[in-house]
Amino acid sequence: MTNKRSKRKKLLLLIPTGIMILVLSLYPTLRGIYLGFTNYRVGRPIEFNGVDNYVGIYNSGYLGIIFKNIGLMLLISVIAIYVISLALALLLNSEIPFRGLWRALLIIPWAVPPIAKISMWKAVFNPVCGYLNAYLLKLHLIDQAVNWTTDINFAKYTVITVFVWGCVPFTALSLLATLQQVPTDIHEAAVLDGANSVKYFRYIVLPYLNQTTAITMSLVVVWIMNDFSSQYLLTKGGPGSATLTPMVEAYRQGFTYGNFGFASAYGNTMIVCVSVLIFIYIKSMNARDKGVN
Amino acid sequence: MSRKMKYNCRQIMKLLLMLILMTFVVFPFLVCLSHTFKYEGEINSLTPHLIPNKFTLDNLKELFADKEFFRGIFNSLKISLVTMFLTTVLALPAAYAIARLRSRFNPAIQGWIVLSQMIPVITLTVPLYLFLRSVRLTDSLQGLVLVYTIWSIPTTLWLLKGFVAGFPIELEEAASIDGCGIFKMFTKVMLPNILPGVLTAGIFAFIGAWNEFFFALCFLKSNESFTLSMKLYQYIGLAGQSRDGMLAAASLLASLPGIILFAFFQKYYVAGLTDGSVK
Repeated sequence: MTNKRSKRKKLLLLIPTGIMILVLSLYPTLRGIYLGFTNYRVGRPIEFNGVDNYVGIYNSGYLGIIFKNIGLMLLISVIAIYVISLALALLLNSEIPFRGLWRALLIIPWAVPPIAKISMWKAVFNPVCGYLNAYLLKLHLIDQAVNWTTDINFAKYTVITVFVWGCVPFTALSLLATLQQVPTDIHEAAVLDGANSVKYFRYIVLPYLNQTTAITMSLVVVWIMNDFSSQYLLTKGGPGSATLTPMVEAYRQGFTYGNFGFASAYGNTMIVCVSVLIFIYIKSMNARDKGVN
Repeated sequence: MSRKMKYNCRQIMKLLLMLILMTFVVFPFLVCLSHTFKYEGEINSLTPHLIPNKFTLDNLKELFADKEFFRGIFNSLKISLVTMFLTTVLALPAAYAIARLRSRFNPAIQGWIVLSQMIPVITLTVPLYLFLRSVRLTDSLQGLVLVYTIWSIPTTLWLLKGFVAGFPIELEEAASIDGCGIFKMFTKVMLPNILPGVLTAGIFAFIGAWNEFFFALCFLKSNESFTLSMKLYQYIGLAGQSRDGMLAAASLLASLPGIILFAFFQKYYVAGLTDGSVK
């Protein structure tokens, strides 16, 4: 039982908290959203221009392309990330030799700075002296060297590979952490009830992972949406506009052409896209909080 | 016998799958490691080998001779340390308030923290740029620290809130009954207990700032203020002009703090972010 006075004191703590969140987080975000409805350019006054930016984006013809690009890249990445992470988590949760070593190595892609990540992958994808071409040629899987970053057939998948690489450790370790919480007696009970390992996995393990899956995958979607360096430094959004994403286009509009109203407008279209996911995210967070309390 | 064979078979299959997945996970890093210790001639060989025919430290020497690289490291270190300090100090009382107080504003604040993680970077970039320009802090380390603090506060808050909530409230009440004020209770009772969590949140703010590239690219202009990421960006621009070895060496060095620190703290982070509490 805390007395009234100390409770009031504690409530005072909420004031700096509230101010901090309002000033440092909420205000800049709302202002960013507002700027998407203005014609702001460097050195000019900010004027509200309604939906002009969105009409402009629509008329530029890029809107469809970039959202198709990011949609496809997200879809493939999320599936690949989930499958690979789940496999890694299950393997790491089982009896496997050198488990500690694998776990330690798994951290690498997560910890590497985005820009170093690109320099590493560039050496793998290099069309002349890269490892990927050299190995594929040696195995006779390809007849001639492929230009992974500039070939229109491959550029998207090259970028997706880098996305997947960067996101797998976090998802795998999150899934692993949840798997480790599955009580062992559930497994025993299931075996007693005659469940084979496939059934056990399907009906007990997978549902157990639902919430972690929802949370990590929503985060992954946002991270990929926000990813800039992979496309910008590997492919520059090219060839043509094959790997152009809202983030790269927003950067170009704002920081190359000085068209900040447009850049923010792209941000707003991205917000609309992730709102659906926010909904799922909050739902699962609430369900989880209820589960804990 | 047959049962044992079946077990061995399974173990081998598992190991094989693990090796394939791990090749994907580790390979680019190994290439970087290999490039670091190779002569430029061998890096450009058409038949690359991970193990260099001839080891060299030339790339590292060349890198260490570049004073601007050290300035980059120093800038990044300064920015990351200050960001870590500011974020933790600002977020800790807030996290305590959110975790322990039942008030009307609580759901709103928590909802916002979750929401803010979903906001595209570009939505924050433009207003922050505008603000930094108006106070003449673009292209400055101070400006970047401010941006990084703003960027990392929601995640830090979320993590810390989880760690505070995981601390038994009974101990807090006991301290209060013993006549501890809230500040004393916090520093003497709670803080020592949740220190791993606080450290984790701080470390992740540190690495976030150390690794960050996009904001640095948008806000920094001059060599003097370049962070390590921006230095690497410059080297990538030079790549192909027989600087690949140096780029690899720089990438390797830039990755080390993250790898080392993550190895120790990732467990708490994962638990904190997906669970809200550490068991």
